[in-house]
Amino acid sequence: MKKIEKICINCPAGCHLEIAVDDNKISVSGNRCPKGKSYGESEITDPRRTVTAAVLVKSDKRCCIPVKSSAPLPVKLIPALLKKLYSMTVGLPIRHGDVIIKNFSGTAIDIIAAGEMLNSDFPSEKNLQLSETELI
Amino acid sequence: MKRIEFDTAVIGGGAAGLSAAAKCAENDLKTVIIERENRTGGVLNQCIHSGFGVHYFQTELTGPEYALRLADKLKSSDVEIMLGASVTAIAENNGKYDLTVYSKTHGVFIITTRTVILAMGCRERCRGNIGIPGERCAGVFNAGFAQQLINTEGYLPGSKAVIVGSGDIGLIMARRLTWSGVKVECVVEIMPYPAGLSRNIAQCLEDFSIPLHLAHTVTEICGRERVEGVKIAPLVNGEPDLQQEKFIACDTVLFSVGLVPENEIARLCGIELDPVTKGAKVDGNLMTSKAGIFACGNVLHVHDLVDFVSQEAERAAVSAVRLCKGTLNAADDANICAAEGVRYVVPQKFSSACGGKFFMRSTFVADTAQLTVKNINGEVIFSKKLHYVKPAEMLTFELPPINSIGAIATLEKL
Amino acid sequence: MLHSYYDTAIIGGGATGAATAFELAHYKLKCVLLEAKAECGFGVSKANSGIVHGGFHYSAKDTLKGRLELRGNRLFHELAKKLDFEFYPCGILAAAFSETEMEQIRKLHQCGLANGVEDIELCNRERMLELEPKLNEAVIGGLYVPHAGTVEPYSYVFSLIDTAKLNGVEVKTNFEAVSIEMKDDLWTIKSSENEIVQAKYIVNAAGLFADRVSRIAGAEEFKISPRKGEEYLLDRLSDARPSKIIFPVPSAHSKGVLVIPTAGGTTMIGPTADIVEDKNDNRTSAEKQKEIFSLASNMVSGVSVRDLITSFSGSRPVIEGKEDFFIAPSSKVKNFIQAAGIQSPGLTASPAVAEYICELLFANGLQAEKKDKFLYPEKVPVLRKMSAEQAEILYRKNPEYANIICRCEMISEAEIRAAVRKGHTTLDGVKFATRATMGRCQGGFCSLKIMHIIADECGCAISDIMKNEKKSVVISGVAGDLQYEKN
Repeated sequence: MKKIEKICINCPAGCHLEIAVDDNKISVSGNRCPKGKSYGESEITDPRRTVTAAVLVKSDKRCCIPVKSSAPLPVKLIPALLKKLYSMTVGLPIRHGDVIIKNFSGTAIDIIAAGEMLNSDFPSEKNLQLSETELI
Repeated sequence: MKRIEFDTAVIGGGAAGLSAAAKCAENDLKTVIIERENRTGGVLNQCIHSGFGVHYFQTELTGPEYALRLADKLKSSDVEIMLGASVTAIAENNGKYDLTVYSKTHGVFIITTRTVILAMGCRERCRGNIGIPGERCAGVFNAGFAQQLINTEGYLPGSKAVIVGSGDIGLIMARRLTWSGVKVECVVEIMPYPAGLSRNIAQCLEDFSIPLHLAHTVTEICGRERVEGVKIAPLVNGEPDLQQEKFIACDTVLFSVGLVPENEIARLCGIELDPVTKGAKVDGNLMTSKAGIFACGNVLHVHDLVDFVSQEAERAAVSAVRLCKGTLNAADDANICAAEGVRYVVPQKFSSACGGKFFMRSTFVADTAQLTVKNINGEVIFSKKLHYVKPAEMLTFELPPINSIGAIATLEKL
Repeated sequence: MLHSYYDTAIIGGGATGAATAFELAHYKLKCVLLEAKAECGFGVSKANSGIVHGGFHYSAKDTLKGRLELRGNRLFHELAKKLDFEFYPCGILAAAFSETEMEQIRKLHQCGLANGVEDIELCNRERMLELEPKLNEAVIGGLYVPHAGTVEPYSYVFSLIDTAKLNGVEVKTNFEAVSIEMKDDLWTIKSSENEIVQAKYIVNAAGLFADRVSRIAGAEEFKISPRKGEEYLLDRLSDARPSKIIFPVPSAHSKGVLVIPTAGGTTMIGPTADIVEDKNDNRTSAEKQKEIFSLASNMVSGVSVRDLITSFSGSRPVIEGKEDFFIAPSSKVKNFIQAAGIQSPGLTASPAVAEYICELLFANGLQAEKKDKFLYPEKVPVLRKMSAEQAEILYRKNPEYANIICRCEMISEAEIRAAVRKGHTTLDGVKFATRATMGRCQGGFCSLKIMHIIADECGCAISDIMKNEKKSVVISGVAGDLQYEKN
């Protein structure tokens, strides 16, 4: 039997997991919620991570839109994904949730916009400007 | 000079400011946010990694997504948002406050307000602040500045980096640099334990086998025009042991050595500060020593989770609303002090009749620790067992009403 | 290959060279100033205590530096009115903590009196504490010299350069002289980039490298021995900021560690004085930091390492075996004025050094008439010093004045653009010209904004902007240049 210690990354609590691997059986202890159990198991069988990056937008001003994988991605695919993300550009406007890459590498995982950029002059949030007349 | 009136002025449009303003507006206060950048969201905009919002929005979000959600809350409100506007002074004026504001769009003008919510956030301590010796070459960055370069404009600070300090921003940057193709040689931490969250040690360092040198310090930054390397040495009895000094070649040094609340305007207007948190001293209403001025988020004390920032901001906002409506009860007749094992407790004052919610930080690392709060007669009024205690992680507790004008919190390793 | 001909070439754009350029700009002459670094003042002058000394340390009768310090002090008060640099005439207090030290103070007092220093006052303990309540109460007496102060040495150099340029002096930066030859009474100076400048006269004001310049020109052989000083800068809200410059009793090689209320509003403690081998050694050290903090806190209350913003070091160009300045026509080659070994009080003396250099040039055959008209550049308004009402008026003329870029030092977009337009296109150049990034966050928040403004003004990419010298790259590339290979 092999014992592996891992910190669960699912939430800030950072549970200290002890994962026991015995032939075909994996048992996880130290977790304080079910997410910890499945995280511990997948760390042995199929480790995955959520990938985030900043992709260059097509604009006269150099700026990036944040993107993320719609679900944790197998770690062995991360280098290929990052290579693709850091070499591409996307056109504006971009809204939150827009798909940047569909079904990456046959994983059924999309890369989606994790921010919003309607034009390269940032404000996509409400941007009330105080008019002169309002000032007394 | 022009003057405009509000019920409440929120200084800063980051997580704290947006959360506070939304709550104020919900309660019909005429609210303004004064934000110096050209967009709201503050540092969240450059924190493109995920891990935010698990408590506050019950889902895992990236920084920009968290900021968008907060901004969405304001879309349907009447909150005025002044962007590119800096508050340079706060002055008392007949029971109200005058804020001097500089803005490229509106000029220099005064905002007169009944209440002020301080939500300016914090700044990074830099290489100069901690007196790291060596040359003053290019290639030395605050981790946050490097994060801004990479994540908002797609620039790289270098090709081979050493990160000083294991704060969360430093850890997150270790992964970001690695993912960007920058080789991270190591992370150097002066304390014998990491400064960041455990999960960030796991997913940002261990995932990439980046060495973490605990109880080490940088003894020299080398390089004439651009960084050529750093010398590091282990600490022995608090001093670097130069016998064991070694050189690590790199072209970039990132500093993630702590955050400091940005309280200069608060200090200049006479608000009393806590020498430990470097934030204002507040009471159970999160009101500072100046009636009507509240503080929340990283300007009050540095948080490790934005979720707590939002919660704290709402609490400050509710107090501001009550003050404006004349329903705010005083919450400052009892003091709470940090003693053995406790670095600080916020708020520093509270209502003895109501008790209250507190944030605190420990001074040590332990698997299990016992938190004990006693009143001034030495009677235990509250105790709680805590797990995985470390200075990097903020702890919370709630006190019942106490029949005393003071409480003392201690934390003991079990 | 470029050839340009001048009456006088000044080698070195520090305080000495800049003041000489300013002085020569008053005459109908064609002058050039050659600076090896990316901007003027980036050598000895930028890492300087910024003290306008009081004229009581050296005898004006027996030493050249004593005479020029005294004259320089007087000229500084005049220059500060005309030029655009920060001068804070706060005065000096030299404190004694023992009877032996008091003995020294009496000697300094005598020296000051003999030099004719005005209003110099020998003080007892009570008077010292009245003048500066932050002094350690163990003080037993001291010296008060009211007509002294602090300047921002870089902005002093910049203002001299700007004014000299406005009046026709040419300034070439990144011009490192590698060969200097005389033929037919004409000097030919070649740069490392093969640029050629020809001039009738040369002024050697090359600071730490004056020995090299002298040697390659075939003039006197001497060795400049760098005497390094570390300085530590405290936040403008530090409780340690005294109302006057606090001096200890000097040693043979240095005036000691001072507590300095800088002209910019911060507090500086330092400098040390140590002989080093390497002229480019600008390191600071943990050991000296401890020493300086200990010495400073022994003199003044409120000195705390918690208020530390940054530290830096620079070297005084001392001629080996000589404590005085060496300002004289070369005895080995013609039309070559040496201005070497301009160590402390070189900044204070610089206006007087420049006057003296001009005298020497004229005495050695340079002929020129004074210009009828001399121009001063318009002063750039400083937002930090304005009331909100004054700022509103500035805003009406230029809205960029209400856009605060550097929050710690309250520097506006307008001031930064003005600095870039004057030719300060590096991050350090903008810093020294405006104070932007000089505050408590050390540019953590505003460096990128400043880089965007420089890029906008210069029409370059922000990745082209340097910290200071040619290889001091800030941004090394763009995402995608490098690749993450494995997990």
